[in-house]
Amino acid sequence: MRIFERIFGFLTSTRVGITVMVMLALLSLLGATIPQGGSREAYIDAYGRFWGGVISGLGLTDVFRADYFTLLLVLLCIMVFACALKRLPRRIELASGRSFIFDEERLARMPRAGEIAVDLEQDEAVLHVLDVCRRRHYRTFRKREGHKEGIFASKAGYSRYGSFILHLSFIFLLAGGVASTRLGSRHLREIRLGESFALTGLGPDSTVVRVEDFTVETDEMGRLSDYICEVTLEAGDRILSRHTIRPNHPLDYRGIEVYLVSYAEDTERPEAFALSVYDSLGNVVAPHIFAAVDVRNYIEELQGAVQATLGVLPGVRFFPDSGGIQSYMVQRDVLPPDEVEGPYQFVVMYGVPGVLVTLEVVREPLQGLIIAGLALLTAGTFLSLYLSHRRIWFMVTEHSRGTSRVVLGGGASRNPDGFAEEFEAVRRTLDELA
Amino acid sequence: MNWLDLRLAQSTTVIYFAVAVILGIDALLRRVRLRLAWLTILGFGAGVHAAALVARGVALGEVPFTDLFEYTLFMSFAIVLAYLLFFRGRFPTVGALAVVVVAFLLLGSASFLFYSDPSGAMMPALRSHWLYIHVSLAALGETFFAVGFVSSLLYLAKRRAAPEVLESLDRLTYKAVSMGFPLFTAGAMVAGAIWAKQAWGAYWSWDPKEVLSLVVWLVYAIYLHARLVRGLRGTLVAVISILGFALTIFTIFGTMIFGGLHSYG
Repeated sequence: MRIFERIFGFLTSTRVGITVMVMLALLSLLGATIPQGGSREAYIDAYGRFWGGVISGLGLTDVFRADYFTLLLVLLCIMVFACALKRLPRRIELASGRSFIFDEERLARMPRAGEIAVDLEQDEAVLHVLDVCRRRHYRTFRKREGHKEGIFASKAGYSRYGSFILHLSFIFLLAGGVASTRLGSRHLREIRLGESFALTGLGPDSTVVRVEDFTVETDEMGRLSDYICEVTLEAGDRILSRHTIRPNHPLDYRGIEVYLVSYAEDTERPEAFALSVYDSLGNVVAPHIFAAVDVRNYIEELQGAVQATLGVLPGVRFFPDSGGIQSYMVQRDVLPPDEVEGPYQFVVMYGVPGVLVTLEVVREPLQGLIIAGLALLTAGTFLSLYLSHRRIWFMVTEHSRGTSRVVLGGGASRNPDGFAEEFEAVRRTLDELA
Repeated sequence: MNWLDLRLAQSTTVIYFAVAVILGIDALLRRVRLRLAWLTILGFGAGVHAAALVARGVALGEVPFTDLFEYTLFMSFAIVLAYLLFFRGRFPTVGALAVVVVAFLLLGSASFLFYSDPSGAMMPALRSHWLYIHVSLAALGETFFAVGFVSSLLYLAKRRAAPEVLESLDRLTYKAVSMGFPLFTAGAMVAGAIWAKQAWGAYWSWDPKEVLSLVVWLVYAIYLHARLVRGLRGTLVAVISILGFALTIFTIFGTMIFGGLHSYG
């Protein structure tokens, strides 16, 4: 039994708790300031042989994924939980307990204390006190002991739970974080317009996400303002739904989230071309034809586009290579004449690049734990630091026939100045009304 | 581009410098007229500062919370405003001097070192109502940390003063930290995490700015535990408060060194 007490004592020690927090703060500081995930050689290059060796040797190259960091986090959460449990009975007692004080000396020793003589019978004086307290939103309780009437007034007692809620939030956040890391997944997908990818393994069925369209929006000054991706969710031939994804607006489908991460020009798969057409003597016939083509069959489609414009099949001065679109223009002057076919020839002047969209597919089960943790963290912090549990005790005795004596004292968990003002106001009101 | 925001910000920096000089003289001579003079000029400076924020917002077409320049412009304004509205009567002249110097350094660095062209494109990821919640609450929290920093500095500087003076400075630090901590928690940590999930798909990414904010949060949590649970007062907690604000400043400007997801601001 003693061993459990000692373990509990260790876990609830403020000194140990502060030490763990200091260690976590120091390690986090190191993790934030030292680039993470490099090789030993990279650290030696950056920091020299000695410090590079120290950083690698101490495992500071991947602090946030290191076992010792996780261990400290888990230890902190256990300690926080143990502390919260240890203090909970006292919190409940303070928040909802009803205590009555019939001892004048105890009342006088309180942070705020006072005494008033009122020209009222004892019962009337009690009702008067209760009324004044209720008007100030205090919960009131009364009890009689002999000839003394005791009143206990309490306001914002629930603020006592603030630190418990705050500590509890860590458990939710840790559990949510562990669930997300261990059970969740995230994948980056680079995808072209018209293509799709399956949510197989992530979703409950054979649903696929197809990228239908992508638009870059600009404001009236021509500045990039947003980028938007239209996608459909499909199962077989059936379109389940259509969605618009853009930054801050992911697609959420049965716990699978699809985020629009970025986009890039896809020069290897142009989606349109600008052409110039020449006759066999090199004279310009059509300076500029715009041809939107299926990128997979672009030579034939380009020829078709020119034929539709001029009525004849053109030759091809076109050598796609790994250099991308810009290389077509370079090839124009070095093209052997015998490769030219037909009465006309065209030269690709410019290729309109296609779009390569990067999507991130995320599955994070039990996110509710994290959301609950964040809500509790906010509520706990505000409750414990912004609200004050105010308590006032009154003892009403009959002084002489038709007059009573009210002795009062009280204190607050926070903001003693604010409580002092309120206490004085209560005392003054009692005095004036009496 | 009319540079009005920059001109107003730089003018405010000069005004704060002038106030700091008058405050320095007042701290030595202790004249009532000087106090009236610097308070008036400081109030005028705050007005020009507000105009700089408005001009920036108009030029940007958005609430000016989108980059380092705007953040420090707003935070330095909040520090001066918090002093004028809530803490004016609580600080001695030297405290006012420290407040003005902090605001001057922040605003000076913003307007002379980190100015950014408001006509540039704003990242689409920043177009979210979480921007206002996240940035404003975090900056207000850090504003109170700045006040706590000043009162802690004064505490250390006046260690031989009367116990009542020291106690009032210690209480002031606690009050500032206990007001700033929930705001920082809600703004930097909670709203930041929710927005990060919406924008980047993860509540927490161990990004340098996230981690440094966590460190700041931990340091102030240590301060509150030391004071509330252990009942510590005085030098040690004052040092923790100073360390907390030093780390806050490091966090604000750290993105320039460490980059990461917050590299735009």
